[in-house]
Amino acid sequence: MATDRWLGLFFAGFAVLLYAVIVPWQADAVGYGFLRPRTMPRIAAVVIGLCGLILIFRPPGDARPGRFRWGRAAVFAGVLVAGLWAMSHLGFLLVAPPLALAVMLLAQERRPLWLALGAAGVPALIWFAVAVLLDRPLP
Amino acid sequence: MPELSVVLAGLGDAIAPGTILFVLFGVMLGQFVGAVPGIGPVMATAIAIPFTFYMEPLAAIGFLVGVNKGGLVGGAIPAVLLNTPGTPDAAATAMDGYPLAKQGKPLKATKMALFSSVTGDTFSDIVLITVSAPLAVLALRMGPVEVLGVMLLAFAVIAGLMGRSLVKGVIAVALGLLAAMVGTDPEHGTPRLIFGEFRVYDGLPLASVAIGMLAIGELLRRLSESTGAVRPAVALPEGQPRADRSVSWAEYWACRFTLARGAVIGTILGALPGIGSTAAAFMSYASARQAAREPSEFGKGSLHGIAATESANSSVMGANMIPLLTLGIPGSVSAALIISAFMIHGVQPGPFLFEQQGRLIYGLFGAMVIANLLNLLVGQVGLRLWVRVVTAPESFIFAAALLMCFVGVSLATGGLFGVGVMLAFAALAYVMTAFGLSVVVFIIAFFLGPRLEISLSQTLALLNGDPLALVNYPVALALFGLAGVTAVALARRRDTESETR
Amino acid sequence: MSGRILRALAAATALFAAGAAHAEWEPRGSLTLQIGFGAGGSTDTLGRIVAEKMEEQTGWNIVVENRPGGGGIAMFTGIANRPADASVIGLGVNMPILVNLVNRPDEIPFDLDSFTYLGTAAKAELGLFTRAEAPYDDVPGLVEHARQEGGAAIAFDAKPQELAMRYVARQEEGVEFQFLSTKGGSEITQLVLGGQAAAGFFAGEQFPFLESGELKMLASFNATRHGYAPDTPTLQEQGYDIYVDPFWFFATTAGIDDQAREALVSAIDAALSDEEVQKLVQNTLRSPVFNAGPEETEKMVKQGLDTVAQLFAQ
Repeated sequence: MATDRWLGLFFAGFAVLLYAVIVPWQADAVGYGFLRPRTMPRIAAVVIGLCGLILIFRPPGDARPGRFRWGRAAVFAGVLVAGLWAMSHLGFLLVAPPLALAVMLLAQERRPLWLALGAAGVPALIWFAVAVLLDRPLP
Repeated sequence: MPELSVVLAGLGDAIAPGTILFVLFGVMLGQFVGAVPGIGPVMATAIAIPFTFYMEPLAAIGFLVGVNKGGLVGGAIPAVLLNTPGTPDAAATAMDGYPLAKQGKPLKATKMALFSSVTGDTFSDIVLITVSAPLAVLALRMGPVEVLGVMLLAFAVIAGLMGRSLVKGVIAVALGLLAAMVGTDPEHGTPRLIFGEFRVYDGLPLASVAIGMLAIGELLRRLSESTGAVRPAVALPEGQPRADRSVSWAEYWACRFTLARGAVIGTILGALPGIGSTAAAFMSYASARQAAREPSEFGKGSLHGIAATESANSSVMGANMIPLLTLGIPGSVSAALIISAFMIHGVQPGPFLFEQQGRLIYGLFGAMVIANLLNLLVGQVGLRLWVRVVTAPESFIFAAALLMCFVGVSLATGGLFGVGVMLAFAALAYVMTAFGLSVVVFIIAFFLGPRLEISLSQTLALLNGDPLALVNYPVALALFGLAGVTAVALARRRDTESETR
Repeated sequence: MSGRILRALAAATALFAAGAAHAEWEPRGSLTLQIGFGAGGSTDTLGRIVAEKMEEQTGWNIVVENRPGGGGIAMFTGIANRPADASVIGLGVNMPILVNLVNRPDEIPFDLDSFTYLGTAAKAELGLFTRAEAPYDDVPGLVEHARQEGGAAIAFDAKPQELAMRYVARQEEGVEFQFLSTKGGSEITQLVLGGQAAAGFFAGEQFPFLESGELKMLASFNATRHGYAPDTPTLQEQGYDIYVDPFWFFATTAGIDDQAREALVSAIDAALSDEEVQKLVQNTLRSPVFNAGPEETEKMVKQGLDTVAQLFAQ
């Protein structure tokens, strides 16, 4: 219940921020026309704000953040972001094998055959499918 | 109607071994590439176009039709087997397909998807070949105000998918619409909510958001729960009885009304340019559940659920060719891609297409029917292969799927920036799921949002600020009313269901 | 006899000259052609057709990449900020870039001097069309119709088209248009044929409907009349001093060395001069290949900035 109240508070605050700061900053004021650039984002802000208020007063209580393993998810997300960053500098072919290896090791895969297949076989298959079969550059 | 000799000549061209071979290549490529998480049917077709520059016209178009139809079947495979759909349509299939696969019946689930897809596809092809002209007239009558009515109806259907909390469902819709507003605003063409990043000037890349939220978000959650126990991604029990491996005729026949309803919804919406298969898939799903004797079975592995979405979204693709071939107006991105293949070969779609290119068009019809048959055959073999593949350990399958999403999204969006957007939305999906906000609802609103906003803008311009002018649009008024009734009915039904749970 | 020898000699020198021009510079590794739009569209097709022919003619290894975003802004931002090594060239359309340079110069990380211009590929022939049975035949007629009916809906798919019509409305007393913003030519076709719009902008999709007699042309919105309709006057000729001239062009980073520039210019020109390429491009864009050459391209892009500024001046 409490989680939902916090969630409602978050959305109410987000709506105010969206309506009063983000929309005027990130959408042009236009003096003519029927559906102006700011109209729809502001409608969305109002809807989100009202729903946030309702959540504060009548929380449904189905939020279960405690059941999620945030730490491990963050580690996996960090590996993916690092992989993306490395890929933009070194390219897919150099980064894909260690990235696949890191993900599998983190998922507690220890059998060498599967590790090898994931780190070498899968990138090779992707390379073949994309660069050879489809004739598109790999990232 | 062209002469019989032209029709026969066209069909003769279609069954020439050369054409069949290209259609077969197309279907195989489409099923394979479409099944890669992150690519899907539209992208597969776009990638295949440059292969056709120097082909014969019928071979080229048959090949692309094959890729497109193959991609439709392929797109459902990762959704059903891994719960990692790449499009909102596939997410609808996953709602029942994945639970069935998890019960140890992955072959049954994917086969049902294949049969339903081919059924819907064949239905809309038959409509296209026989009665496309009257449906084309319907497409011209449906102006912006009527399209707005259809869009509102599609949004009303979302009410039935909102889960326990209506308020949270509405928040998910509003957030999805907000994400859809990033990019140029439809009426004035000014950049909106882009924070100086011109790579999202045309909107957030669809593939990044869909795959990030639906596939990567799910992979992230499952990876974070991996325990080190050796688990296959999908369990395939040894010595499984035949009934769990295949779909019997009786089971297929029991879904006949669901399949027919889906095919009709898909064909009608597909014949209207610009609405798209997402609306069709979810409308069909919602109406199948509404009509079901046991609606509580939906979402737990019901064959009806798979049949409803797959028959609808596949029939949209065939029906998209109706305005294309009769009026020269492509009804969707896939149809626009196929039009470009026509044009490269000097065939200009338009009102004279049947007169001037009758033989080619009947050749195309022949190729479409052949592609459906080949889809069924290639699918029978391909599905076994894919199911076999995903019995590999979870860790391996998930790592491979992640790499494929990286490559697929970077292909679809033109670089690694799209992959960054994908990861950001994966994180958003993870958080939303934890707090009970529906990711699927968000995605549907995100996909339908741009068309809703542009239809609203066009409607307001046509009404010129006078709401009373709406009386000139009786069809649209009827659709608005239907949307209202549907929203209330589905929301109330959702209430009573969640109380009995 | 001497004629034959002369011709042979001429051919030999031409061959030699061509060989020499290419031998002076070639890309280190591969040449990347970036396309400012997504896969599968007409610009994508145009770029891939040209790249394929260039690769065949020059023997260079050419990689084609899509860099969609803002009608080429994302791609040209990348190109403007690269080292000037001539390893990446871009294919884009002038209009979206000019529109944003006029409206928000501070937010765009480049200006028109950030590039070396290599040539154009084609011009888009933009015109205003309506249903054949409409009671007006030109823009003044449409204006009169709008005045009597209290408005007329115009379907368009790019900002300059809307602005040109707003310009027309401003020249007249008591005339108002309603603007139907759309996502492209096929939607405009639907709105005009379905009778929801009084007129709409087309740049190629109209041909089959002109042929079938369902559409007629009101005006060319380019600076010149269209090749296929020499009798339909331009908007300027109809008394409204404004035009919109969209075209496709190739450019790379400013400051590349002259030999590289020469090699790229002649490679692009050679590919565009190929008959097969010309046929495929005509089929795809529905306007003929048109290469203005590097100097003229630069002039056209920069002049366009003034025209677009005039469109936006209220």
